[in-house]
Amino acid sequence: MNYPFWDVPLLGGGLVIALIAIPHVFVSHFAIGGGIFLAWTERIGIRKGKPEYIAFAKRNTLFFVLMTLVFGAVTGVGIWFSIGLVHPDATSALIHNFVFGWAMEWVLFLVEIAAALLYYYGWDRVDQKTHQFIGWAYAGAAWGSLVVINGILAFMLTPGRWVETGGFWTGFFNPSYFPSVLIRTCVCLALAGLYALLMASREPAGETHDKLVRYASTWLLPAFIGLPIFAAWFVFTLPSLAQDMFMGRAVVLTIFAALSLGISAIIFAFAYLIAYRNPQSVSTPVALLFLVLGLAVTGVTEFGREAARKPYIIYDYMYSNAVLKRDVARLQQEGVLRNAKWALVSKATPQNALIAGREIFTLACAHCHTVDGYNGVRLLVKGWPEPFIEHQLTYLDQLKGFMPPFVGNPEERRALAKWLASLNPSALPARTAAAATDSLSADPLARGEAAYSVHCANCHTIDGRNAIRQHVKGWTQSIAYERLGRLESLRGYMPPYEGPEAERQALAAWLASIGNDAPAAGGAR
Amino acid sequence: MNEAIIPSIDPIALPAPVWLMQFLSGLTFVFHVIPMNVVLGGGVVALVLAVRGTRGSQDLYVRLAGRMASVLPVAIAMTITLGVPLCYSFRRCTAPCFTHRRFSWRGRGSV
Repeated sequence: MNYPFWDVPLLGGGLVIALIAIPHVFVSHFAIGGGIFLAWTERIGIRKGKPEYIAFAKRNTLFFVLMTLVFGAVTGVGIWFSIGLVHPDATSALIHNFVFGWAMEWVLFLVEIAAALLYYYGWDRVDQKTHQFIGWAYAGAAWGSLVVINGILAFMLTPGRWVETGGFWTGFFNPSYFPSVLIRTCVCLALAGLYALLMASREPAGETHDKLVRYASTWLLPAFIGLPIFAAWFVFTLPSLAQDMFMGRAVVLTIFAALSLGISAIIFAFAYLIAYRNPQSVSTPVALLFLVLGLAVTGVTEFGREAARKPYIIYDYMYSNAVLKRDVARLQQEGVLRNAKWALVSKATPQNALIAGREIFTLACAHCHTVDGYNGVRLLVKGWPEPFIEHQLTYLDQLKGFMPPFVGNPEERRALAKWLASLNPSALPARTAAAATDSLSADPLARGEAAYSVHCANCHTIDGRNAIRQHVKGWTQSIAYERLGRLESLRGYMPPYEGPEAERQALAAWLASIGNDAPAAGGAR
Repeated sequence: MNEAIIPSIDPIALPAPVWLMQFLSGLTFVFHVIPMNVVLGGGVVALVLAVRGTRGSQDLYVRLAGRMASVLPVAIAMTITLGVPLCYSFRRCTAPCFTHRRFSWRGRGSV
């Protein structure tokens, strides 16, 4: 409500953040794992007298250092720019809480960058012991930055008692903090291992190739053992709505979770069965393929983790449309337009309904929806008559658990419904459709079925999901007629029936006919 | 100035007094601009030296340009990293908060 809205057509702001953040997350995990990988590999080379390990660490230093210094740093700044534009209110809330968290992370960045540069330039210039020390400083600072930023990331999904106390450390060491740190650490090591596999696969065929491939594959072992345990712990700490969404309430999320598990399993199977047991068969294209699969897992997992936070951006505190949870009741009375500093109109009236509706969409919906692109609302409301849209808006949070409640007052809800209905002008409004069927057929049952398809079939089928036949079993026409008059009192989430009288009679007759039919006989209708 | 568009104060209090936030913003900004000037100015000077040295076959210029250029990767890395605090403290913690003197060392405090 405080800031102008940054409108990104087709993509939407959320996807802009994701496009920058997912590569950043992938590369930063990879760079942190890389720091540990380099220091450890050099150590093994020194301790066990294996010069090929030292040479391998040295060859890969430039890549990991470049990844950290260039790609990690630049995309990290990119995340700041994008979240500041897309979610200024949430960014402000996070900074007000955690500015010193970021300051701590920054100090670790400085140590990491300085150590990484010294490590790179120090090969063969400083003695082995000093070089090892620098390597561990690089690895430790890199991992420390994860330990810090994880507190803020996990906070957004599970702020825990912070919602009551508001304390820095309460928010930082929140319920999902520890499982998240452990998951991310496992992922860091696994991604470094996948990269090392790629590099090892480029060695000429022979003993060194096989030894290094086998060594690289062992870096996936901590993730193989740890991830299932820590992931289960993580899911256990989630709010129950987020758990439900993973378990099937939001199908996309369930699919993402399944993809994350499935692809991870494929990667681990590859690491053990091929890379560890038959290292000589690992070629560069295969290793590259599995590195790309690693990116895919990062993508679906991070996307899923972000989506699990819906309908909030900071759980139990701020909704994804930047409205504070505690402000909802007030805004539903006062209206959003009056409270928005950058709205074109300050009040919804029947005269300005379309302009006001568009503005309300921007304020209340556009943080997640575009009009025609990603999560585009035009397709979502296609075929929905205006009263039906308004009803959906009234019970938005109950009908769709991952959406926030609608935050405007009743006039604003009407204006938004009008604007949303205007997005698909070719769709026939409910009453016109019913009237058209009147002239098509004199058969009341056919007219009733047409009315059913307009008023009920958005949610019901005849015999399948949410079967209407089950609901009306044994109803007579007069019972059906009476209940059509008070649908909203039968079930709080059903819209009232608002069609004309003759149509109501026809619909009641049709409902009575299917309620007393056997499915096989009535199913043909 | 249209006061209507000034963001209202964030309900979460600052974690430190405004003067300290402003001091840290200024300090980290100075940290950022020093290597930034090395990158910008040094890059231009090195380029000019390299071009003139190559054209006029002045070996000394070329060598100096090479040395200056070798500092650039480190200076760029430092510019970016030292600029990171500008992303959070400078933008948010000072501007809307000039009018806002309430803070709590422990966190949100009274909301």
